[in-house]
Amino acid sequence: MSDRGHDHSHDEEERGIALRVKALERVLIAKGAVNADALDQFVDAYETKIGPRNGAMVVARAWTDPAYQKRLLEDGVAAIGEFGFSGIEGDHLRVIENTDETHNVVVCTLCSCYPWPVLGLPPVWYKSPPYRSRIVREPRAVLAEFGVELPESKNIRVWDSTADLRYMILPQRPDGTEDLEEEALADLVTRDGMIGTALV
Amino acid sequence: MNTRKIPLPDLPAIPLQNNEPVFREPWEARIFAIVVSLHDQGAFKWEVFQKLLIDEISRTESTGDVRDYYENWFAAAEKLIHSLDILQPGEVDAEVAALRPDDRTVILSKR
Repeated sequence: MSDRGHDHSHDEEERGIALRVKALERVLIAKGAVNADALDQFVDAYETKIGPRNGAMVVARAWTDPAYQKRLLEDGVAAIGEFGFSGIEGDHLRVIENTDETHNVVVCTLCSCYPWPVLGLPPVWYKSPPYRSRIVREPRAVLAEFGVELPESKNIRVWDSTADLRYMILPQRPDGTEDLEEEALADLVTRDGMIGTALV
Repeated sequence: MNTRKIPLPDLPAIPLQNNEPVFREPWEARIFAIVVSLHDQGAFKWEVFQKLLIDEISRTESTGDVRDYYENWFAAAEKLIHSLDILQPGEVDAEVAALRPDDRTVILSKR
């Protein structure tokens, strides 16, 4: 019974917010503050075009081109700009390199800062309170929950994103991929690998 | 003999899911796009919205008011739009009433 009651009120709340958003959009369109086609295009872009494939291309280039890798680590914004990737949440981007000694992982403890131009919008878990609080307190245990078991000898560094600076991780190139070309390498790179909650 | 660490109480699990949709409901996509579009036109600096979003998240989390992410985003967007002086007071409420004249959900939930 109580479950049913909860579901019921949740549904009504969602109908309420959906209705308010619809009303807000209609009023803003009527005033010329936004237009429906532009809204459709933004939704489409973030649903289908701006995603971790962008970041994977950047990583694959860095793996195959030492000069690009150097530029990427020195000035992330300019280096991703070479691919034409830029925009909101991308204008203060720093790329951090995983090494044999140190594994890096990214969080935004205050909200959901995330490098949109290279990774798209963040997954639900990245925005969840448990991840945001626990990855800082017990990174090794949290990484284990993601299936990343690191030797005790490996340092873990947690990077807390802010409005001023967002991070992307440059994973280590897997062994045995010396013969692969850039495109095939990009296929190996995962979103979580560039957040640091997976190995590549 | 016992090297187990004392367990931390009530350690919340991280909600792991793969292949989740970018937006779970159409309204999430619309309110996202409204904010991005206003920014794209230069209506405000991104940091302004980010601050409103952080305030909304920290306020609701500190009071235990569990909200979905885009509910916080919507609340921050309403405050942002209010600060931009685009709308007159009551305009959205009037549009809500016009869209659903027979809908009492919103009115009842205010009680």
